[in-house]
Amino acid sequence: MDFLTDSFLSAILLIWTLNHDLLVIVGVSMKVSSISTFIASLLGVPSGFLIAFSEFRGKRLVITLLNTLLALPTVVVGLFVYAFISRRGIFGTYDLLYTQKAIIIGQIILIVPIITTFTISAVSRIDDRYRKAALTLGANLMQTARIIIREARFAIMTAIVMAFGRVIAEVGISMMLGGNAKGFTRTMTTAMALEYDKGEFVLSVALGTVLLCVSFGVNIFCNYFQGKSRL
Amino acid sequence: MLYQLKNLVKAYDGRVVLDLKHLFLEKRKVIGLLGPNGAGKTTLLEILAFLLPPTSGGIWFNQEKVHLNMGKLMKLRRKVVLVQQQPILFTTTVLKNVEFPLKVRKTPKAKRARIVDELLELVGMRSFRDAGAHKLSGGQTQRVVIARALACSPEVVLLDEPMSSVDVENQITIERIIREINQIKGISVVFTSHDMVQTSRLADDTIFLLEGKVARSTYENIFSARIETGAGDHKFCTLPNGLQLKVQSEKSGPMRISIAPGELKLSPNTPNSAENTVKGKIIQLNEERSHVRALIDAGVPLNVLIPKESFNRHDMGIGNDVWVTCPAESIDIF
Amino acid sequence: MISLLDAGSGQSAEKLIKMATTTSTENSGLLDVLLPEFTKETGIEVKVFAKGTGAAIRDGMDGNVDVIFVHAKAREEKFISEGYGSYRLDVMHNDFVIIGPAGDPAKIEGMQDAAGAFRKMTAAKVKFISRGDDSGTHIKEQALWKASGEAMKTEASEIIKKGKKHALSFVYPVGLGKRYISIGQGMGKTLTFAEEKQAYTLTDRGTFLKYKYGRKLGLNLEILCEGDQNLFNPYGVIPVSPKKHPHVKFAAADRLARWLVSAQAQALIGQYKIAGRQAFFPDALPVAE
Repeated sequence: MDFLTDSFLSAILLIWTLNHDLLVIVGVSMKVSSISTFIASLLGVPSGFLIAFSEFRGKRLVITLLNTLLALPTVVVGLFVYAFISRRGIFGTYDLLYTQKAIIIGQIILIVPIITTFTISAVSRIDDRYRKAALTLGANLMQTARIIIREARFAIMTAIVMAFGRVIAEVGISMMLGGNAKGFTRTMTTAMALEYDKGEFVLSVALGTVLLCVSFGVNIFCNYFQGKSRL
Repeated sequence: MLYQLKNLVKAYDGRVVLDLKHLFLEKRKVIGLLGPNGAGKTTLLEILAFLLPPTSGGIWFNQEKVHLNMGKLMKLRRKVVLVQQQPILFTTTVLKNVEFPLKVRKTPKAKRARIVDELLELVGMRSFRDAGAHKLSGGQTQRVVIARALACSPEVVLLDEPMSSVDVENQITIERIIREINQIKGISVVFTSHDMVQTSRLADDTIFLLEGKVARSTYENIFSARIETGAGDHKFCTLPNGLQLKVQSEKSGPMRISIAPGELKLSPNTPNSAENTVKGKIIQLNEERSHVRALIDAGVPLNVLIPKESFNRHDMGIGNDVWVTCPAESIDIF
Repeated sequence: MISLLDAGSGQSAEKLIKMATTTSTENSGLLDVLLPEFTKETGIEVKVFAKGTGAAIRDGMDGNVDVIFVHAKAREEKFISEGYGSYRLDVMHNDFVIIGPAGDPAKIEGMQDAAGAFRKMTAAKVKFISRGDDSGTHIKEQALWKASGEAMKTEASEIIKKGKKHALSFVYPVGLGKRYISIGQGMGKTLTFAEEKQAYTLTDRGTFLKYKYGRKLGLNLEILCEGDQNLFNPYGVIPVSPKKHPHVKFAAADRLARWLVSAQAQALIGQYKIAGRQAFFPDALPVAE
């Protein structure tokens, strides 16, 4: 029991003193996850919007497919991307494996379905009167889309924040595609997974604490946005 | 001619909501679309607003045929604006709402501010300029929506039941606004309603819609009646109070009849031909733009519509006895 | 160094002895070839306990085993000087090799000077992958960097090992900067990482052979620098001293130690192949009969 308390207290100290190693690792996680969330939003929100508002033959199939992809295990995504970007893969010459770019690619694939399906749901719930109002006031498709997305903004923000929460805490993709290289692709999760039994237990506990706080924060934001979207 | 609709049908999953053989709407008039709920009024307005495509049939706007292609429809939508029955403002300030159509049309900033101020003044909502749109009451929302609609500088304003969900004070304001924009700005107005009195106060022309079709007569003067063959092989209908009127029809049995108020004739004295004439008392008089509408108690309530000049020729007032004559061919049976 | 061939004259009181060794030694499969031969010769069975180097030596100090067979010369000598071990015999060595891409941008192919190779790698600014996990290989790599004389930057951190704080520092060459990649993982992962990045790394020959010749898609890297004494990893066999622990089976342990340096055992060691290639190099001089 002493070991645990000692380690935990040492971990708090690491955080308090803004230990350099800790900051670098947290920084890598935040950077990679922020970029992937941003790009995935750029892809997912318009896609969700288009799917929600178009009528086409395979629409129900597409939505079902997206819903299935919500449960993608990170290791499956990691393996899939690995097959493409490893030196033996099609994109081997781009030297992408074991870089931050590789993790970002994997994470984008992981969360685009989340953002898309939530956008579809958010936008579908918006009163059709907004669409008709925008159209009758002379808006073109883009302007109408902006109005509807604006009205759905809180629900869409919830989706984006949730997606961030998903990637900041995932291990599979970061490990398989990042390689845990110190200072570059060592994320909070890979560090915790690989360093804990090498004597870096205290650092791992500190990282775990930081990760918990981030997840907590993500949840608070989600609740806030969800509350606003129900007004 | 502002709008011409020919053989226009709108159906949902086989259920026909609108079936208009021809409909003509004239420019620069205030036109009322009257009908009970479910008559298809909202659907028709949405079609006129180019928000809904018809299932079949043709529309001509300003003498030009309307083609259902995206780019052209958007251009038309910029000339025609619809104010919905339960109108909705965007979740932002009143100012930004009214500004929206101007921004969409890329109006320069300074001009936008001026126009918004003018319009808010017109609808009496100037002091609410920076208020959150969702905090307004029903009547206030309605007025801002109208201001926003006018920001489109439209040729046509369509209003769906503009008076049904607001209080009397707001109703008066809205009526004033409609008159102003029609008379001063020359905007054509089409509005729907299920209130006869309001409609007649406001509208130059009234079109009646019943079950998706243009009805020849209003839904007033509708009675259940039994059609029988009488003396001389003539058909006549018996109303619930025993009143009998001669009709022209092949049908028999229990039916519903309706008589257009404009077809009924009033006279202060016994008329010469007594066929289908009944005596009654004037219990209500309403002045309309060019007509007078009288409610006669003749055992059954009869709505009669007479041109003002005819009315003014005789000295008829509330409580007077009158004789109402109904030509047999004016009785609709359905 | 006296080698006595004691074949056949059995005064082995017991038929079973316990030996502590390292996991990598056991993993190499060499013992599975050697020890049965010893048992055939002498009838003595050897029970192998494989753990980390430190733990194996500790077992010797505690008298839990009769003989230790590890590859940590400094610690072995301390073991003897402190009286826990009777004597030490050089049995064999395996070695580390520096591997890299076939194109060899650092031009170290054929070099026998490891420290010099490290200098050339720094000058050529190539990518270098480090295990970064405080393992034997990692320690060797760090020693070589220090020996290279290149400007080093030290990164210090405190870790907790077995409940105690240890100050840890690792060095990396300033000249390589971002190209020195420390991944904190095992040898296998380090090799695949290096292959992926077509980078240089330090590895033990055994693991390299397994990955290069022992699997379907052979590792796409070559041995570029080998043979430097500094890359050698000598193995010593030490019977536990009966003076410290009277209960140990010294006689049998002694027989094992001397057998390991016999011509027969040394030949077996030299012939042992991993993925078709020699991995261990016998160190005992054969004695003419």
